[in-house]
Amino acid sequence: MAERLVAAVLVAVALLVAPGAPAQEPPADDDPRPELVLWHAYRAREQEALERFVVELNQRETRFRVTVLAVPYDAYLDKITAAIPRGRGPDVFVAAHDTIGDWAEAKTIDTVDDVLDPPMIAQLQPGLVPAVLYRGHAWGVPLAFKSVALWRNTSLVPEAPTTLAELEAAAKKNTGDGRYGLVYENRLFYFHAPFLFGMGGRIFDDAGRPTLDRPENVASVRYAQRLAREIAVVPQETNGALVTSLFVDGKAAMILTGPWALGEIGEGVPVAVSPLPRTADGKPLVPFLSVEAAFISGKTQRRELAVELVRALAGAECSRRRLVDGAQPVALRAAWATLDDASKDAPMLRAFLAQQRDAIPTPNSPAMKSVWSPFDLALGAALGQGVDPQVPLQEAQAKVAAVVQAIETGPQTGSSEGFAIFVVVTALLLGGAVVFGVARYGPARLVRDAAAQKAAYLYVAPAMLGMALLVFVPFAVGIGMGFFEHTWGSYTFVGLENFRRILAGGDSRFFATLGMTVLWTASNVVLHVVLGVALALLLSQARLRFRALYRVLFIVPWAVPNYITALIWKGMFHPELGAINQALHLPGFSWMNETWSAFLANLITNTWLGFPFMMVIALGGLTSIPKDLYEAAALDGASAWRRFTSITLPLLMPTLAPAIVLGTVWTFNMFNVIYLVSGGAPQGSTDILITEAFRWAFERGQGGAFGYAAAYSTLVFLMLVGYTTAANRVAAKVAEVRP
Amino acid sequence: MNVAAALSRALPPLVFAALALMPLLWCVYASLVPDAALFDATAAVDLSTQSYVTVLFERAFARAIVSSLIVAAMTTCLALVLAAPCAYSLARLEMRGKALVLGAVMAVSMFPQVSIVGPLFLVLKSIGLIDTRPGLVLPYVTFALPLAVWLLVAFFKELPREIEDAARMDGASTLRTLVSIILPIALPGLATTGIFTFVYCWNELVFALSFTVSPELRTVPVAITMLRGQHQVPWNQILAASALATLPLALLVLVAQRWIVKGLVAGAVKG
Repeated sequence: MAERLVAAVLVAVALLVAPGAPAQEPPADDDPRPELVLWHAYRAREQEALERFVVELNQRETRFRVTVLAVPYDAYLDKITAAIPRGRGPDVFVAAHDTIGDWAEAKTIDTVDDVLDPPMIAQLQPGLVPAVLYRGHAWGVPLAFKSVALWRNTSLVPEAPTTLAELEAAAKKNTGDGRYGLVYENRLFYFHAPFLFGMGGRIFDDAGRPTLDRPENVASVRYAQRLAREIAVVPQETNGALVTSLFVDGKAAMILTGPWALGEIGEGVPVAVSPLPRTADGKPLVPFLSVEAAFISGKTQRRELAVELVRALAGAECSRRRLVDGAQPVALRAAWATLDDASKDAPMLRAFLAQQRDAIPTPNSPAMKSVWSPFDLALGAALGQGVDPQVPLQEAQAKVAAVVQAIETGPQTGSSEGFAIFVVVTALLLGGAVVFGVARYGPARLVRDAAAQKAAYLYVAPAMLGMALLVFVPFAVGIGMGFFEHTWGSYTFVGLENFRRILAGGDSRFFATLGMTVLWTASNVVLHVVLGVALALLLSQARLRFRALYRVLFIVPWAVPNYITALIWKGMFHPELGAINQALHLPGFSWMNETWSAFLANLITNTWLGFPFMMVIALGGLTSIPKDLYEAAALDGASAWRRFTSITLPLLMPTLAPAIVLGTVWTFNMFNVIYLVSGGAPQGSTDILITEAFRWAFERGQGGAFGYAAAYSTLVFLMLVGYTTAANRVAAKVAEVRP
Repeated sequence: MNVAAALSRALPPLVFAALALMPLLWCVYASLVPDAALFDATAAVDLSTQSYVTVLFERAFARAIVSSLIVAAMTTCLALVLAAPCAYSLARLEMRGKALVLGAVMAVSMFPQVSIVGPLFLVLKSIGLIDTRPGLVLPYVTFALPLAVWLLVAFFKELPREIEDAARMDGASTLRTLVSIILPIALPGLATTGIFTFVYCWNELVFALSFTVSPELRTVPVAITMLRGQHQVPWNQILAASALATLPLALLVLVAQRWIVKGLVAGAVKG
């Protein structure tokens, strides 16, 4: 028997090791050409066009061969930021220009001043090069550009509106009966920007300081309010998929979106694209311009070859393919001459080319990164709750100004002595704990116990060993990071400063978020347990038919990936088109505008996700309760409720208690539901500690406030350790009392 | 046969089941209609399985399913092999420091994943496991252990002590008792634990996204995220992929159901 167990372990280990070796396919047929790795995050037509070009390039190129890898867009920027400094990333990658500042500061990318020389610049569409300049150097070679423009359904709006007045008139005419005149994602700064810049607004002044609350900006948000709330031609809470689907369905007369929608629009609906209209003063609306460029990794070993690849990507053949096959507005001017004007895409692509003259590149400075989310929040408040834009814009201004200020003053000065003291103190504490343990139990006794309980320790050891490496080391690193401040890849020791800032409430809303987290956890766990136990009781009725089928049906919700569940529920909570509002006859009620309703939406989603676990556990517990207890109780005349409270519940508790503790820990750290369903709306009030930590790490600070986020995580960890310790004590006490 | 009584027994589960399944049915329905009809309940739609065909054949989704199956199966086996002795030790054997071990196991799920991904990446890189299958399986095993150990401890504690005592009197070693006496009776517990572990691996996204680069290693959740671009979100394909991803799990639960029921009968004998 023991041999069989050993054999099982060996098989498992063999399984584990065997397929691990050739994770990356060996180079095909001993190709002598050195390999260049190219990353991109395109999909659909753009992906096909690019990848087909690379296949052809590989056939004729003698100096190198290219391995192209499509990376999931969700992880794209993070992967580049994480992989390149560690020498595992691509040699060349294609991305939008707006992260240049961060990458340049962290030396993720190399300058391309030698590639983007005056002859090449002369071949490119004017106005693109400034996008790839940062601190006086060029960091990428422009391949394509994207901005929004005005799409219209020509059967509803035959003539392109040239002024905002004409736009409003056409929109009003086509609003009503479930149709909308103008649809765009009006709560995103990116889509609001054309109005802001068109009305003379700015986000930074000449010195690079943020000016989010200037009067022109406020006026532009008032105009967005007018469109969405006064004349109500713009629907609430749109998202990208909704914008295109309403348009394709003929329910939106006009939309604001970019060339990326070409793949989804164009069949079935008569469509035309034109540059955005002008304001009453005759000034054009000015959208953000995104320049997609080829970047050379700062860590590539083959820079000379990488330069050749970049030239090929920006060259005539690749540009023609990307334009004609991929429907991508390309940077190379000559390529536009190859566009067949009879093709379906041509008029639309030319409209984007025309729009580009009135578009401004998104600022690529790191400071810009801190603008998006506060401005989106301000738009949410102005358009969702209808507050005067002045107030939320002032709040946004304060937030952004604080970040920019921090960027200017640089990282807090840390000291190496401080770090040394920290290391010594930690070592002393750890050593002290060991000495205390030995002194208390005595070495002899420890050894004797260990010998007597050898088998027990042996059984526990494998699990512990694995965890020591893969869990405790990362834990230690994670906790340690909380004592540092992170600025673009470099860490400065700041001691307890992060913890002091969090707990003193200086620049965060730690305690409000903590309150929300506790409320969130408690209400979820209660609902999960009540529903789970109730369903388990229903399913363990003696004469229920199709019991197995029901069990499967109830377990299935939990088997769906929870980020998918979250997205499905988010769709169902949509104010106008979601299934829930339609079922409840609450058209237009926005769940995300109030804290309580956004919380409720999160709660419903997570309850749906969480009850199956408790149900399975309770089912297991119920079967272990001896049936004769019930028979005896029934003989004594105990009511059903009485039998439940004095037999079922007490005997179920030993099984349920650990599940409740575990469920609490999971819910406390349930990231996906909060982040995807409410996204913290309104104004971050439904954020819990873990989503707040995530925002610190990835949406704030200079290249990510990783230290601050780690301090948050450490506090979460300590709280959960405290909670479980207490819960286990209580459970043990209860178990002792009961016979 | 009392029809009313039978109905009153069957009705509540039926209603709950309908509620529980609604979002899933929506998911399947939405995957069958064009995106345009997705947000509009009034539109007349033609159902089409095109999105399934697209997902399965054009997007290398089948490869991701195979990859996920391998990773999840390996993780489940390893987690059970590691967790069963550990749980037995905690449930039945004399040992100093049980609380410490339990605490350590539990602590795994307490540190927010957001802050563990980065350091774990460094650890895996330093032992050369980034972008390898073991580099995914090993973290999964450790993060699945808390649940596995806790579930098994609960199951082992429920087992009758008499059988073990009898085995010990016959002179069987603890290992032998565990393997030939305990594990067979605890089969339903092992099956349940295995399913939980399997589902966890099947649905895990963050580690899979962070620790793999090669297309061969992409698991189903990563393949689903591959469907979207910066601006395009092809809902019907994403939902078709989700429905396809859920199917193997539903089947697994259905199959394991027999085991669990069988185990429950065996358990009832002792009562």
